[in-house]
Parts: sequence; structure tokens; C-alpha cells
Amino acid sequence: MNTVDDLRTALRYPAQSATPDAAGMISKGRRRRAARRAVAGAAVVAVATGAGMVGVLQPQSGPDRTAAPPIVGAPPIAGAAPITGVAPDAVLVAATAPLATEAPRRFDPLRRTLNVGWIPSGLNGQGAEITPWQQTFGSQDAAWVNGGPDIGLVVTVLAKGRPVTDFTSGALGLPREPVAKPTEPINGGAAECLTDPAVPGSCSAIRWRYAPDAWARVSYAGSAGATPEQAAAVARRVAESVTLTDGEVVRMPFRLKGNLADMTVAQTLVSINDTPGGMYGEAWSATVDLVPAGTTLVQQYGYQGLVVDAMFVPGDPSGRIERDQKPNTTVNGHPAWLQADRAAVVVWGAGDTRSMAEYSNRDGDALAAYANVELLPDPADPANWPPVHQ
Amino acid sequence: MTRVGRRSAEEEFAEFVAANHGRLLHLADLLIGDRGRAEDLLQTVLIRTYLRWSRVRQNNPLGYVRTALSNARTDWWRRGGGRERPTETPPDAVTPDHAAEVVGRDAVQRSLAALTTRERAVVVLRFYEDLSEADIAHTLGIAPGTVKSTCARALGKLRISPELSAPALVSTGEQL
Repeated sequence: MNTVDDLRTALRYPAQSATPDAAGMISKGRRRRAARRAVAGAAVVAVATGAGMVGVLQPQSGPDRTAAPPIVGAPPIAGAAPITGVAPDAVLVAATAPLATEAPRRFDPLRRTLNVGWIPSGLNGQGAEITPWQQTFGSQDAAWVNGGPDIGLVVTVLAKGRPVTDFTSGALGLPREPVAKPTEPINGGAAECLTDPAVPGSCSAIRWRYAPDAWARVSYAGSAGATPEQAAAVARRVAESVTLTDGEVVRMPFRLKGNLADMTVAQTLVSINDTPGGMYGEAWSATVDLVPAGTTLVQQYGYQGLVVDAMFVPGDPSGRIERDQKPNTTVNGHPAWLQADRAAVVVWGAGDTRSMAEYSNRDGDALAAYANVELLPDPADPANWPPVHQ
Repeated sequence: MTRVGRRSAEEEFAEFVAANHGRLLHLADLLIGDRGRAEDLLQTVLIRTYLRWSRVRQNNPLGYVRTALSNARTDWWRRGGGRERPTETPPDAVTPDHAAEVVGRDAVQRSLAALTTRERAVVVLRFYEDLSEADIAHTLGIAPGTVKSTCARALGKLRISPELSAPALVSTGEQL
């Protein structure tokens, strides 16, 4: 090849045609994305035993986050079975006290301030994501299958001043362009039902002002909402349990040291799953997106920075997952794969995990970065994780 | 819900997909080097595009998808998808009807496999998508000067690639 025209010609090699299925993308895609966002895997919280009990959950007082008393169900619906609920995994929600009186204009991805006090039974794993602009808690329905009606639960709180258009993905169980209708306030904040105009009584998503100039939204499409009324009751019940707190530092299965500790954290994501749980049977996964200190973060898809990630598959100390490449080096005595340009490294078996560091869309020595990632010796139980910078 | 005199968002999205799918799939294939994975990635990106269509449609949806393909590739790899790597066998099934296509594709992919992630993306965006250096810099979130140096480095590698030296390629343009 001698010229750029040669290269252009070569890059335009003939390709087999593929017929796009836009309708399929529309119908399946929304569910797939919703499910992925809801949670990457599963870890059912112990199902509460309060079936038949009816009442209203108030935010728990004090910092006690271990007690998970039987949690009462959503408001009763004539002729319908009581809806029971559970407390989310304590690692993924903030302690309930002290409460915050105002939402910040930016969240700190290292500080978990969203508390969700009640979620319906029948969910199958939970995940929590924090960006400067929003915090999301999600869970996938145990009955979820791609294309099915039972997707799960997503709770999102926006930072102060963010518009409702920041709720970019479709509310679960609703059409792409739902109709907003005023409804009873949630904890005193003005609220709107997001309804499907074709389904009378539908209100499977509620958005409300959870703090001055700050919006939240709950959407639910799951097996506890067999009827529009039941789904609406669950969504309201979850919404009423949402509080913003002063928060606590996000806990991770690793600590960041050296220059990594000085970088700006752009996003954190933790998923805790059942066994077998996520896409690769992982019990949990944890990801931190880092950008150089002083970077002005803007809302975009993807970051140009460093990603540190760990995941754990119970019963498989190798740490390897499907699709992993063959090791080409070792790191701290563990088999590892280092990308040719050193921008990414994957280490298998450290603490029985699969851990990695990767420079995303920028140059960098991932091996040097990984040296500043201190995995816990035994990270299997998320309840024992320390604050990420501690 | 379709409104009189106005196409629905879903209709717009479907038209966008129909008009650009072939080109975008080729782009994804060039970026990934694996036709099956490229289809998966493109579908994922188009789903995201659909879910953000109300915003994206107003502001260069093709550019949005192009950027998302470049960035989403990282996400896909993060969970074990793998990056460009030499393969012992062509990733797609080879059938007699498509043998010539596969040979051409395979030669290109083997050459691109010698490039780093960024080099590959720059080459593909520059010489397949015909983007300017400024547009590539915007798409990849890097400095224009980095695009220039990366492109030069990549072309240096491709120049000596034995895979792209087929005599059928006519040389008429700028020297590499």
C-alpha cells in the first residue's frame, strides 16, 4: 500500500449486507437498557416477612443500617394480594440519618447520599451509580426476561437545578412519550404521575421535587405490579421512602493510593448480585472512573480518564470470565494481561477477583496505575468494604 | 404517538437507522475487528441513541453514534470483550459466495490489528469516515495535535504492512 487512496480503498472493502431491525431495537432496546441500568446483577435482600401488614414506612431514625425489620407493604388495593417489600442492600444506599435539607448542585461520586428505604419483593439484584449530576439506584425483577413485561425498578435523584429532561431513558413500563399528570405530593413535594394514555390508571413512574429545585423519579415495571394500580402503588411506596442524607463515603473492594487518590472521581458504580448473578455470574462488581485532578466534568457519554474495576465470581478463584484473553504477564504473582500499548491491564485471581485498570481514550501506563490500586485481601463480602480512599 | 404533520420520534429513528446502518456497521467492524461483536456493539449504541433521540436528533445524530461507537467500545471491552488481537481464523464464517469479501476484509483487519486502539480509531475516522483532524479530535476527545501525530504513527505502521500490498490496489493519491 503506497497512498492514502489505497488505504481508503482498502477500508471500503465489500461487506455482507445486514438488514437493520429498527423496530426490534426500539422494542427490545428499551428493555435491555433499562435492565442493564437497573442493575448489572443480583443479590436479593432477605425478603421481609411482613406479608399482610399495611402501613407507611417513615425514614428510619439514627444511623442503624443493619436492622431490616419486616417492612410493610404498599397501600392495599381491594382484591389484590398485599405487596411486600424489603430494605435495599446497606452497601448501596446511604444511612438514613442525618437527613439533608437541600440537594447539592453537584453530587460527589465518592459520597453516597441517596437512601431508598423500601423496595418491593421480587427483585433480583441491585446497583447504585453516582455521577456529579445524578444518583441512581436500580434493581432487576427476578422474573425479567428480555422482551418480558417485568423489568425492575429504577430510582433516580437529580442534583439541584437539573431539569427533568435529564431523565433521559424511558420510564420503565411506559411509552416513550408518557403524559405527565399532577398527583398527590410525595413527602410534601409536588409530584407528577407519568402515565400511559392508553392505560387508564397507569402511574408506574412518579417524578417529584424531593428537595428545593431538585427532582427525583421512581419507575417500576415488575412482578409486584401486575395491574396498573399495583404498579402505581409500588412506585409511590418506593418514592415515599426516598430521602437525601448527608451521606457517607462510597465503599469499594479496593483502595486508591498514590496519584490515583489525587485524581478526580467522575463516577462510581457498584452492583451486588445473587449467585449466580450478573452477566458472568459475578456476585458483585465495582467501578470507579477517574479523570485528572482539576478536570472540568461535563455530561457526556464516556470519559477520557482511568477506569478501575473489580468483579468477583464466587467459587472461581481464577477470576477469569468468558472472553478473557490469555495472560501475557504477571502482576504481583497473579496472571495478567497487559495491552500492547500498556493502556490496559487485567489481573486475575488477586483476592479471587478479576481486577483491571484501563486508560480510556487517553494514553497512560495502566500497570503503573494498577500499582496504586490496593485490593482488599478478602473482598468477597461487600459489607466489609472500606471507604474507597481510606 | 404520531402527530399530524410531524413524524414521530420512532419513525425518525427508524429512518435514521435504515439510512445509515450499513455505513455504521462497517465503521463498527473497522473499529472492532470482529463482525459479530461489531453488530452487537452497534445495536447497543443504536439503542442508546434511540433512548436519547429527542436530544440527539437535533444535533448531528451520526456524529453522536460515531462518538458513542468509539467510546462504547471501551465499555464493551471492559467486561471482557477483548481488543484488537490477531486471530488464527477469520472471525466470520467464510462461505464460497463471500470468499472475496472476506479476503479483502481479513487483509485490512490484520493490518489494523497492528495499531493501538487510538491509532486504529484515528485511521478509521480519517480515511473511512473522511473526518477532518478537528472533527476526529472532537469525536475522540483528544487534542488536534494528538490526532496528527497519532495518524502519522499509524500510517507508518500501515505503510510496511504486508497485508495491504495487494497489486490490485491502484496508487493514485498522496503518498503515505
